[in-house]
Amino acid sequence: MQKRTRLESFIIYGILAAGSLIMFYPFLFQLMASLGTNRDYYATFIVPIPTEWQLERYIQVFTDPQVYRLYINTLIRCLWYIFTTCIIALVASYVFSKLRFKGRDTVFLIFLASMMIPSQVTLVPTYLLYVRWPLAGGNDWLGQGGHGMLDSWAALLVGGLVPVYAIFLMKQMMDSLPFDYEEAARVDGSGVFHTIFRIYFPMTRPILAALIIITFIGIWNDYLWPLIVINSMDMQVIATGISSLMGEAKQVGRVPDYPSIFALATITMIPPILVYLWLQKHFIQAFAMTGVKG
Amino acid sequence: MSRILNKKAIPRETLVSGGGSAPDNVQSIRLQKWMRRHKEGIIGYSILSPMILYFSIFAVFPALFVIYLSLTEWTGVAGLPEWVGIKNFRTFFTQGDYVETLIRAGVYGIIILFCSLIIGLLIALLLNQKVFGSGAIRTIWYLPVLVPFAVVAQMVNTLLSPVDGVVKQMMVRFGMEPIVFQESALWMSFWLIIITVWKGVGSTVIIYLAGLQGIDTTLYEAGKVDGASRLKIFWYITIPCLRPITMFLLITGIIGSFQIFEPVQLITYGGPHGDTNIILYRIYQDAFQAFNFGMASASSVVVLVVTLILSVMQYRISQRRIT
Repeated sequence: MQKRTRLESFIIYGILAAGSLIMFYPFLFQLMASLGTNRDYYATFIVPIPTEWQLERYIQVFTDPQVYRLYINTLIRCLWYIFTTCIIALVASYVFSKLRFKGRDTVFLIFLASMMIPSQVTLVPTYLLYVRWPLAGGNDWLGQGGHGMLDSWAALLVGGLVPVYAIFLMKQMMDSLPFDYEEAARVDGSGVFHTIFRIYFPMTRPILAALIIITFIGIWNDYLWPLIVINSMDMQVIATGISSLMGEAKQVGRVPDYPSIFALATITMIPPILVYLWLQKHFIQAFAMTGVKG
Repeated sequence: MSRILNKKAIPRETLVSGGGSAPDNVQSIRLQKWMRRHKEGIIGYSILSPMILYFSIFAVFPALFVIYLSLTEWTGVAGLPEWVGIKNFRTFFTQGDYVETLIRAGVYGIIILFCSLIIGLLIALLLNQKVFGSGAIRTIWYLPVLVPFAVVAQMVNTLLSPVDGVVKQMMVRFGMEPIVFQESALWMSFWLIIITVWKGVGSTVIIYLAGLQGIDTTLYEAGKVDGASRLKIFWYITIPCLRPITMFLLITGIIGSFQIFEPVQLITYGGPHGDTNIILYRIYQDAFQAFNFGMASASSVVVLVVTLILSVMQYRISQRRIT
């Protein structure tokens, strides 16, 4: 690269700083609003400045059993999906990448083709599938009578267990590894699962890190599906639960407590940001390696 | 053939299994041979078969079922769907605001896509210039992608409140006439687009950045040796190298426009007078508020067809440019 002139540097940093400020503004706003009082919020000029800093909203929000419940529910869901996604992506991509048998590529193509169907297209039939699931939630074997898997843990944990995008990403990684590893493993008489988890698992860590981030964020922020299938408050997840708590807090007839509303918003954002900061190095690497080059 | 097999293999077999009649052994040896020859296939299918089963129930079945449902009338979950032929599709194209919501989703999608691509490319190019603190800046741009859209939407809802929203108060302070955004479709569309771009542009930046870092540096050097100006290098090397990524972003972006839901459900409620309603919220209203599953399925099928056509079109275009 040629050396930049001072004007060029000024323009580059100017645009980046201004843009980043705009991107960060809502976070700053919500943080400041959550630390102040209602009066500070009403007196907002660009950003609310707390006259007296108070952390008690956060303590109050965190000790709320309802919020606690939402946190636990969402974490259980996130861990379950991270676990299954990683395991299934590893095993399936191994089969698709390293074993040779008839029909392998056909199966893979069919899996891939399903990515062309956006999930909201199958929202209604999937919902009905859950409601009419035989022998669940008071249903008879024809799926009549009860409410099926609605409003139960099954509704939150059963869907999306064959994550095609994850298998695809992982297969690209596996394809880039030389076949020599496989040959060596076979010569040594290593079993399939032994090969997968002892040999390939350590080599595919960047992709696993990326999958952890993608899955965590996807599940943590999942809104539409829990909104449809969960009614009872003690099985809600963060996205639906907090947004309805926020909505309730400013319903007509109540004096809204804005600092708590913004504190509620803030605590939903901390875990995904932490996970990202923890794994971001691998994340970028995974993007570069698998190359989203189409 | 079988006789040779017999002579050679029976002794060993009897040692292992400790007896058994000869024909049985022949069969078991054949089976073993077959197993050995197809070992990879057997392992492969025994691992894949639960996945294939799961996949057919949770991915293939709903995709076929939605087509069937779109041809039926079914209000409520109880009872059985009643066949009505293409009635729902006729309704979609002639009555109500279905076509409007579909087109509106597309228009929003294109505007959002256009903004994200321009801003994303610009920021990625600047970040690629070895700037100080590029890691922190990248993280800041990516933050909105990480947080729940529903919570963001609920927050924006609070800020835009016509009663005591901060935006209104700031306008009063600046001496402006406060606008009731909720009454104006244009303003609500504006906020909807701004929020969605803010929420999503970070991933565009990251993807472009990965693309820029993947470009072979020898190409730049070759350009420099040939005496090309920086603008020319950008136009003739950087842009063509980013074309596949742009295609990828276009495809996913246009498909993504039919997935906008949270801001419509939580901020605009499709209003005023359904003027910011878009297709996914329409499907949601039909299915889960009116329990008209047939109509919701018909809308879903239309979205599916449009998505598939767009994907194929984009794919064709990208293929043509490369060759």
